[in-house]
Order: sequence, then C-alpha cells, then structure tokens
Amino acid sequence: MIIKDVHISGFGKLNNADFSFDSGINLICGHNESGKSTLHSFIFHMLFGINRARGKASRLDAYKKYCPWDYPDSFGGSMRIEADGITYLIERSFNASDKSFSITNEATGETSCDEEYLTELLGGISENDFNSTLNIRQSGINAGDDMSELIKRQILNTGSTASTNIDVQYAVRTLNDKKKELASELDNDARKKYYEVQDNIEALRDDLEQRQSEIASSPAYEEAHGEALKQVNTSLNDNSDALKDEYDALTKELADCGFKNVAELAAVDSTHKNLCRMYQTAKSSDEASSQKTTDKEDASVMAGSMYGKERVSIEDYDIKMVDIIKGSIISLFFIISIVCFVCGIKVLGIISLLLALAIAAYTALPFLPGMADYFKKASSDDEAVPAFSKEQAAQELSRLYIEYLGSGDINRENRDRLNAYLSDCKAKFSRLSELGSKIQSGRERLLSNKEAILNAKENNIENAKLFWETDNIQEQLDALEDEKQRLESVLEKNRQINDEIASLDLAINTIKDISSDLYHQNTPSLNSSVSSIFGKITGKSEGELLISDNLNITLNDGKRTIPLHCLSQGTIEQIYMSLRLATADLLLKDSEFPLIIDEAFAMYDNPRLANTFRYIFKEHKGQTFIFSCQNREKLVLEKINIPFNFIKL
Amino acid sequence: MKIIHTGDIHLGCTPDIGAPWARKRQADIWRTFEDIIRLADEKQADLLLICGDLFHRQPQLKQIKAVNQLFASIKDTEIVITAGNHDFLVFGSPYYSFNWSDNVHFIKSPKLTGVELVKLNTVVHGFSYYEQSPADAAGLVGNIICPDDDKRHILMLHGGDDTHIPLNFGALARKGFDYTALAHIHKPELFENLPMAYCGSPEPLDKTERGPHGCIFAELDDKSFNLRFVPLARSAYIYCKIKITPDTTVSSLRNTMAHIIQEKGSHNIFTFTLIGTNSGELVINTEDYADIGNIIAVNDESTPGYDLDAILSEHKNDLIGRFIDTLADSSSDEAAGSTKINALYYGLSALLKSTDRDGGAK
Repeated sequence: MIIKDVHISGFGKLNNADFSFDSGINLICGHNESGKSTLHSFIFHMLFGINRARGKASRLDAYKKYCPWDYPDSFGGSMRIEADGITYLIERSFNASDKSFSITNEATGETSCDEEYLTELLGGISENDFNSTLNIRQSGINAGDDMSELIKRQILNTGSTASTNIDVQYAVRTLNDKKKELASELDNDARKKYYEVQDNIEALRDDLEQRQSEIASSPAYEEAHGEALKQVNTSLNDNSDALKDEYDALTKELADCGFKNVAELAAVDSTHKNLCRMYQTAKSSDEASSQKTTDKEDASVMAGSMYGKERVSIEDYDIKMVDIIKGSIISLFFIISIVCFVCGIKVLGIISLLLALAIAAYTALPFLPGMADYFKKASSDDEAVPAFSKEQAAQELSRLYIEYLGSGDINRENRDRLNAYLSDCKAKFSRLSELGSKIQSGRERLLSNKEAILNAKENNIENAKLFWETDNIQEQLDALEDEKQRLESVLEKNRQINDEIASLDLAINTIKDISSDLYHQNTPSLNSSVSSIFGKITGKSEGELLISDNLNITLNDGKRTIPLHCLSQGTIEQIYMSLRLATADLLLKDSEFPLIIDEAFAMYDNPRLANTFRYIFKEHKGQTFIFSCQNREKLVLEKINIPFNFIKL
Repeated sequence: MKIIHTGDIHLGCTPDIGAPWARKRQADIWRTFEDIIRLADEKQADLLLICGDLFHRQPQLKQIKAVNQLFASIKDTEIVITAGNHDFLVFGSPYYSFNWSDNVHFIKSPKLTGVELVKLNTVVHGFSYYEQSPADAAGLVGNIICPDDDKRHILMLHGGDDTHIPLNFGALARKGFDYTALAHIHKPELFENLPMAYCGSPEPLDKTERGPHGCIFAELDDKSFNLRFVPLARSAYIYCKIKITPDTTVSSLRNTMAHIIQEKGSHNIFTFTLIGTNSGELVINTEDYADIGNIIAVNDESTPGYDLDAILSEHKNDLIGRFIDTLADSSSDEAAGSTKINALYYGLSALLKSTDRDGGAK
C-alpha cells in the first residue's frame, strides 16, 4: 500500500493543506513547530482513525490535541492510497458530532463506510502493530513491554495467516482465571475434617464397645433381660410344688404306719428278728434230736453263716449217704494205719494215716467258715437278747403279728409279711427324708434368686445409667456417621474439580511449552536478522547481537559480551532501529506498508546514517517517510545518491 | 396364608446427605415403613417377614421403641425379624436385649434356627448377623435342609453377594421350602415360577437404585403360591439425557430441565446427562439448577462444536495447530485420555477466543 497524497481540511495547525508523496523515500523537513508531527499524526489517523482516550497509545488524546480551534467543523481530511494497483480515496471527519468515514474505489466508484474494508487493504496491520514496528520514533531505552510483547507475539505467529493473531498471554490468562474459579469451589478442609470425623467415630465406637461389654457382663444384665431369671424361678416353684405334694402324701401314709419315726421302726425290726431267731432255736431243740447228732447240731449252728442272720436250722441240714461212706472210709484208713504201726510197717502206716487225714479234711472243709463264725458270734450281739424260752418267744411274736398284721399266727407267711411291711415303711421314711432335703434346697435357691433380683433392682439404676450412656453415644455416633457420609460426597466433588483443574493445567502447560518451542525455533532467525541489519548499519561484519529469552539484548564484539546499557546511546538507537526493522520484516513478510521515521537519527554519525539509508533504500519494500528538523538527512541522502522526494514545511 | 415380605428398610438412613431433600428422604423411609405395617393390617396378613437391615445402623433405644409400637399395633400378625449386616447384633446393646411385643419373634441365633408359629402351623427359619461380614458364610448356608413334615416351612436369608454370604439360587429353590424370603440386594426381584424373591428396599437409598421399590405380598396355598410386588416408594431416581447444541444457554437448559421434572414428577430425584455439542462457553453450576427441582447431578458429556480438522488445516504451522497435534493423539489409558480431551477443548477455546479479541491482538 502506498500513500499517494493527502488533503488536510483541518488538523492541528494545518488546514487546507495538500501534500503529495512518492513511492520511495519522502523526506519532510521543517523547523520546530512547523507541523511535521501534525502531518505525521494526520497520516496515522487517516489510516487508523481517532479513538478517543483509549489505551496507552492515545495517552495524549489525539482528538483534543489536533482538533482545530478555529474551525472545528473542518476537523478531518482525505487521503488517497494505492493498493494492488487500485487507488482509493479515504475521507474522514474526526469531529465528534459528525464523525464519518468513507472509502471510495476510484476505479469503480464504489464507496464503503466500513472500516473493515480499509483494515483489509492495510493487510491486517493494526494500529498497535504499526506503532510497534514501522512507526519509528526515538527510542526509550529498554524498548518497553509493548515492544517485547509484540516481538514475542510476532515470533509466535510466524507462519500463520495474517487474519489470526494468537494472543498467548490472553489465552493463558483465561485458563488461569478458570482454574482460580474452580479452585475456589474446592473444599480444602474436607479431607482434614474427614480424618477428624473418622478418628472421633473410632474413639466413640471404642467407648461404646467398652460400655456394652460392661453391660453384658454385669449380673444385673440378667434382670435387664427379664425372662431367663423369671423362667428359672417359675420352674423352681413348679418343682417344689410337686415335691411338696408327694411329701405331704407320704407323711400322711406314714402317720398310720405305726411308727413315729425311723428309729422306732429299726427297733421293732431288730426285735422281730431276734424273736424269730429265738423261736427257731427253741423250736429246733424241742424237735427230735435223735435224728441229729450234737455234732450236726453244732455243725448246723456253726453253719449259721452270715452276721446277724438267722441261723441255719436243723431241717435245713440233711444227712447224705455219701457222708456215711466218707466216714466209713476215714475210719477204715485209721484202723489200717494203726495195724501197720503195730506190725512195724511204718511206711504203709504213714501213708494210710495221711490218706485218712486227707479225706477227713475234705469232709470237714464246708464247716470251716462256719466254725470261725461260730466262735466270733459267740462274743457278739446275742448278749442283749434275753434268753426266751419257746413259749415266751411265741408269745412276743404273736403280739407283734397281731399289732402290725392283725393275725397272731406264728408262721412263715406272717413272718415274711411283717418283714415286707417293715422294709416298705423303711423305704417310705427314707424317701420322705430325701424329699425333705430337696424341698429345703429348692427353697434356698429361690431365696437366693429373689435376693439377686432385689440386688439387681438396686443395680438397675446403675444399669439404666449405662444404657442411657450407650444410647447417648449411639446418637453421637449416628450424627458423626452422617457427617462422614456428607464429607465423602464433598471429597468426591473435590476429586472431580481437581480433575478439571488437571485438564486446565495440562492445557496451560502445553501452550507454554509449545510457545517456548516456537520461540526458540524462531529466535535464532530473529537474532540473525537483527544482527545482520545492525551489521549493515554499523558497517561491521563482526560483532553479533544477541536477544535472550526475556529479550535482554547484548552485543558480542568478538571479545566480550556487552549488555545494552553499557553501549553508547547512538549504538542503542541503532540496535533499536535494527530490531524495529527486523520485526517489521517479520510482520510485513511480502506485503508493503509505509515506514515512518520521525526524528530518530539525531544520535547517528554520518557513516551510520548513510548505511541506514542505504539499507532502507535497498531492503524496505514500500514507502518511507522521514521527518526531520535538520538538514543532515538531506545532505547525506544527496551524497550517497539516493533519490528522494523533498517536502519542506 | 398371607405373607408380607420386606427387608433392607434402613430406618435412620439419610440418603443423598448434604442435598436439600435429604432430611425429607429420611422421613420418607419411616413413612413407607408405616405404610407396610398398614398394608399388613389391611390385608390381614398372617405373617410379616423382615429379613435383615431393619435399621441402617445400630439403633437407639427410642428408634426401637417406635418400631415396637408399630409392631404392637398389628397384634394379629406374627412378625419374624432377623438382623442383617447393617444392624448386626451386639451384646450389651439395647437392640440385643430389647423386650419386643408378643407378636414379634426375633431370631437372634447366629446359626440357622427355626421358630415355630403354632397358630399358623408354620416354622420360620433364619439367623442374625453378629458382624458386618460373617466369617463362615458357607457353613451357615451350606447344609440347609427343609424338614419333611406337615408344617409349612419358610426360609429367611440376608445375603447374596460375594462378601455377604454368596448364594446358589438354583440350589436354594430346590430345597423345598414353601417360601424363600431373600434380602440384602436393594433391587426387588421375583424369580420366575419359584416361591422365592428379593424384596428390595422399600425406598431407594441412592442414585444408583433406579426402578420401582416396595415390598412383596405373597399368598401361599397348599398347592400353589402367588407373589406380587407392591410399589410403595414415595420417590424414584430418574436418569435423563438432554441433547444440547451450541445455541444452548443456561436459561434454555434450565427450561428444558424444569419441563422434564414437571412431566415426570417433581417428587422424584433426577440425574441429567448432557449430550451433543456445546458452544464451548456453556458453564452450568449447582446453583444454576438447584431451584428447579431435586437434581442430584448434571453430567456434561457434550463436546465443543469444533471441527478439529478444519482448525488444524487453518493453523497447520502455528501454535494452535501444534497444540491440537500434541493433545489429540489417542493414547494410553482412559483416565489420562479424558484429561487430554478436556485440556484440548479448554485450551482451544481459550486460544481461539484470544484471536477474536478486538483491538488488542491485532
């Protein structure tokens, strides 16, 4: 794009002025306050419009500055530009009351009031871009953040179409804001609280368990159950009733038995036995003793075997044939032995004697135990028994039988009957005493249970307290469990938010990594191009300009690396110029745009000035505007034979 | 013979704790339990089976008393209870030693035991948990034998998953019990043509428990049986998908959700899943939809409407292009993958937005 000419209706101190420009270098000279800056600004604002008090760039508020005092209505003008072979007329009125813009295609006559149209024609170069690159004034040292940001942005956008211009800082800032928003929704105390609640739950649970086992092991727990003890007592009561019934029945029976107690019965029993014995003895001695030998009687007496039992009576002992034979053989052997001794045959005599003794011993053997008893018995219980005669014994026996049996006959039947009766009564008595002791023990147990219940009732207050305490703890536990559940869902939500934050982090880091990569990719080329331009300006081939990551600029003169602030102001200006020109190249790529240099060469020496002009003339595609209050630029340009359009204000 | 079969009531539980409707749900569980008691009364049920987890946790004495009062109000119904893995019995606790109403039979034994109900000529078999996860599960259910006599035999079991007494349902069905009452799985299930069922929890307890909830009403004859599921729950968890477009805003989304809630019943609890393409700028937070109804979650599964290929071709060599390349490669595992996708969309949205800024960027 080339600016062909301008018509200023009213702008600052200029009004109704016209200027025409060349497609190459245009040198505009004038004294101070001649309107150079005004013209410069006019060109700028015709291209980009006046935006009132916006941003740092309009710090001076161009509107206020350039609005003509005398003729505010004429605030504006026109400019003709040429792009792609077509001429366009741009007309603007800057006056706030009738602000207007139009661009007319002079070939087709088409007019548009749309700024976008112009923006496109300008190749997508924004006001900011222009101010940061092609619009060169004197530098401030430390080219400023705008400059470095722009450079960075420029580098990052290498290769993209001009219509998009990614603002990495903005993107990263957006993502960080989102991150902060999400992070504010996190409940950072949740995990700590969760662990606290868990600990509390554990502690309470332990407490509860302890109390519950206290309750379970206390004797009063039985009472709290209720049933078990009651059932035991019930069954005890039932049992004792049965026992008591039996006891009463027995007592009644025994009341009529004729004995007051066991002792009485025992006495009667023993009397009866003795009487029987005596009677028998008497009876047997009366009966025919001819049949029985004294021996036999004694033998039978001796044969009365057991303690305290009836003696064996005579009738029980029968003489057997075999015994007669035995007696005979014994006698025979005795006789034989005597004869032998007498005859002097000792051996035979001894043998016979031995045989006789043996048979005799064999015969006597059954009687031996009886003999021992007999001798024992002789000294025992028979003493107390009065020696009744048969009649006396019979009398007593009969009396007994009548008393207890109702019949006085002395015979075996009655005897047995009485014995049976006596033993029956004995059994009943012993059963009675058994029952008595059972009932007694039952009563004792009942009593002790009742005591236990009574004690339990006293302990129950203690127990009730324990129960109340456990219930209380249970209630606290419930509340804590609810809290734990709630915290779990909070922690889950936290986890989800943290996942989102992780995604955001990944995005941010990826962007930063890539931009760093790209930067490092392109920085060498920027480095080299700035170096090369600087080299051309200084005319030196050695010395390399280095731009670090954070845009620290240093000069390596082959011997040492010198930071920016150690260099002379002139060199700094030239470095600045080189940077500007290099990034302008990056920005423009192949398109054309006017380069404006306003009073930037004050510090240059002539040779470097000449080099700069040569560079610009050779390398810069498009128009160049040089504003100066000096004559130097004119002289140098003439000297190095570079054609230029001279405008004098 | 008429039986009401229930379990997993979880009295005392507060579902969705932290949500505004949580306390009401806690109360709903009690009300529905009262409904079950009322049902037993109306139907004049002979037997009410509560197969474990009557309470959500170890109950307090006042809770037990409240339940006992309900039980006492239906004196003509025999009630058999066992303790489950949530309300397992602990020595020395009020639950263990409580003196229940006469019509209540609490099978406290840790081993399978029968309690005879003479009036009904029935024996109910069951056991109670004494810990969360019984040590000898196989032993407990390994050798169940149904006694062969002229009484009715009913089996109550609380279990059926890997950690709480795994069950072989086929084998159980063949044991010959007149009815097998199962609980622990919160989803009600009737086994086809078998006198066996899972009663499910009467009220759903968390958002995964979708579908109807209630109790089982069983009628047993000498030769036949008839099982019926009775829906009782006051609220249900409902899942809905909403399709969104890049034009969808928070307001339009709210309207859609409100409409769905009204249609399906505002007493229910909703989970919405957003599908489709979003504008990249749609951000919806809990506060934005809390007032419309009971919405427990809004899951955003929509994707930003970026034509990645087009963007890639336009930005082949610059930062955006390289950004897409770095993050869009399908890689490793799912978790990392979803982080990458989200990062891609977040970053792309921010980067593209930065190019649209007027004034500054250009």
